[in-house]
Amino acid sequence: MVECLENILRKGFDLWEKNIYIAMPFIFNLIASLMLLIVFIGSLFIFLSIPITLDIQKIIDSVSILPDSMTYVHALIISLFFIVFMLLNLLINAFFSAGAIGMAKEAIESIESIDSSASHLDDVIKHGNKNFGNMIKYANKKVIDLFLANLIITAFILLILFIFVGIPLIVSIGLYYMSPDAAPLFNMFLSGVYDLGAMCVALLLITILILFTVTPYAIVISDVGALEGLKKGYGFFMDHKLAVLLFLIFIHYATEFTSYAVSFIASLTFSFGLLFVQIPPDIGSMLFTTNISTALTDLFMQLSIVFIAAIAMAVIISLTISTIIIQPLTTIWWSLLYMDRIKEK
Amino acid sequence: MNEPIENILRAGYNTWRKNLILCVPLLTSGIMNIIILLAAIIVLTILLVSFIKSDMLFVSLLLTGLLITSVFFLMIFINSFFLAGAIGMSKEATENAKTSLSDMLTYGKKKTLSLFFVYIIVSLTVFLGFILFFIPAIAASLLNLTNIFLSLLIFGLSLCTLSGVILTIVLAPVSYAIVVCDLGAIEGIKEGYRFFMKNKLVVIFLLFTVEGISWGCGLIIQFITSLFGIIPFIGDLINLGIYLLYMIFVMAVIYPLSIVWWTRLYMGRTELKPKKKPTDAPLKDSAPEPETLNQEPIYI
Repeated sequence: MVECLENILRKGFDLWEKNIYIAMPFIFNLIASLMLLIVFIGSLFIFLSIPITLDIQKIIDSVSILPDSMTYVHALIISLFFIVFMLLNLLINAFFSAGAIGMAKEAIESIESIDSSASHLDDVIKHGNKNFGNMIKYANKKVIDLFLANLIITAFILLILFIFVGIPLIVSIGLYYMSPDAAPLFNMFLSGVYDLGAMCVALLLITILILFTVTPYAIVISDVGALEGLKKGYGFFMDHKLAVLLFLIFIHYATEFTSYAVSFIASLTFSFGLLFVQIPPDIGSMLFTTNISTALTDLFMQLSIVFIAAIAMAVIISLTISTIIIQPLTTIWWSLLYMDRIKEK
Repeated sequence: MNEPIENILRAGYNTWRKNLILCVPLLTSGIMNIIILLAAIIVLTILLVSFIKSDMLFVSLLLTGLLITSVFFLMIFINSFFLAGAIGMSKEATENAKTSLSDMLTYGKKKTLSLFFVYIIVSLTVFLGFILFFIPAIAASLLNLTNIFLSLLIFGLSLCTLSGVILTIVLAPVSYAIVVCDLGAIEGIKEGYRFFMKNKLVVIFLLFTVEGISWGCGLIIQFITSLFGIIPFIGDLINLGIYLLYMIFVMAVIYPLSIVWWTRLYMGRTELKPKKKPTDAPLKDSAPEPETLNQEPIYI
């Protein structure tokens, strides 16, 4: 039974409303990624012997003498740090994605078999435990496969970046060292090459996104390995091009729309905060004088505090919306689409 | 017959392929817009120069304002004519799988005034909204409360953007309601609003799709222009030509395609009967419906 896309969207939305616990893995993902980031930055600071204080001046002083004291060994170890950070991040994402997709699959499969006679609290507790267990079960089972698949795709993306951006960069540096006088001529030519390279990278990234967007769902729902999952994802797209494209367009613009809503809220916060900023009445004359009085710097301080508050508000709200609404909804929608279209075969 | 969105897209695309003549009204209106704009700019410069020379500033400003408003109304009128024609043509194409320029003239003559009035009404509403959103800010500035003024200004700006987006989405089906169901201006707005409320998801889907397609085409054009951008000077000239061709492409391909899609969507889901040339034939290009024979008892 091929469901039309609007029904999938509506069904997915209902499912999300009834099973908000699907947001759990994404919340854990966010917390784990943040902790990893803090550990990474902390260890980087310790390695580079940057004092961990709140005194920004000390940090700036120690960072500014870094390039002189760094050797190639330093640079190698720092890049190792980055690679390890990236790999751990991929692993954490794969773990929680697998759990989320597994939970979505269970929710979709049990949609008819919810026992309505059980008391509500019992049901919630039973469901809660079951779902956490579900997540761990699916996550444990599929994390390696998902991680490998994501790794392959990331490696591919890095290869593309290297070919289209890295090689022109190396060529330009080499040409510069060979003949520094002809630099302007090279620059004009090379900026065009950079533009082209950036465009190629963008197009290829979009192609990869479109081709392999269903891979995680194939891996978890159809219980296949990494390479099989990639092939299945590609095959799924080839068989259902229109559906996948429409879904991608819808999800992309829906997320963009929510980001507009978030910036709307940020501007509301900003305008609300502006109410508290004391703008002296002779602002016109103050702006055009050459000596910057303390009142003006005070004003800028207040404005920047309000601005930062608005931005922080926007970040917090968009993170919340992303983890609780957008990511679970997207997971459920794609799982529904995949399970539905696979049944059709 | 709630056609799912994939069928609307596929069938609409087929309808457009068979009736490429749909590009004519839109290209014509585009070209006329450009000609009118150029003419207006030339007349404006001549007027301004002559008036500044003869030092009658107030009269020149008045004439400039008059010229701009009349050009504005003229362009809206011409656009309404050709849009009505285009929507009418796509309606005929969806119903009868074939359309011609005579359809454009019929529908254009009939529905230009309604569409024109809708444009005017919506523009007036937006303009009133502008003034409404900014009245508190202006009041605060007059009272010299600078920080309240600034805060209300930003608040007004954000409200403006939000209402603009909402109006675009909610009033998207209005022109189709007016032409397909032969309604007047106000009835059309009400019907368009009702249609959106009943079919929110599909309307949003179609809006996103058209947006996505034009973004995708823009991306491809960017790629091509960056390809030619490597060549220093001739490359930029070629890019200019490519942009011009792209504008023509958008007007001749993407715009008619989206009109066909919207018409098909509207015709498929409206409760009112589409008027003019009522045929018994169902919407073509969907799955062929089985022949329902009238089972009459055969009298021997």
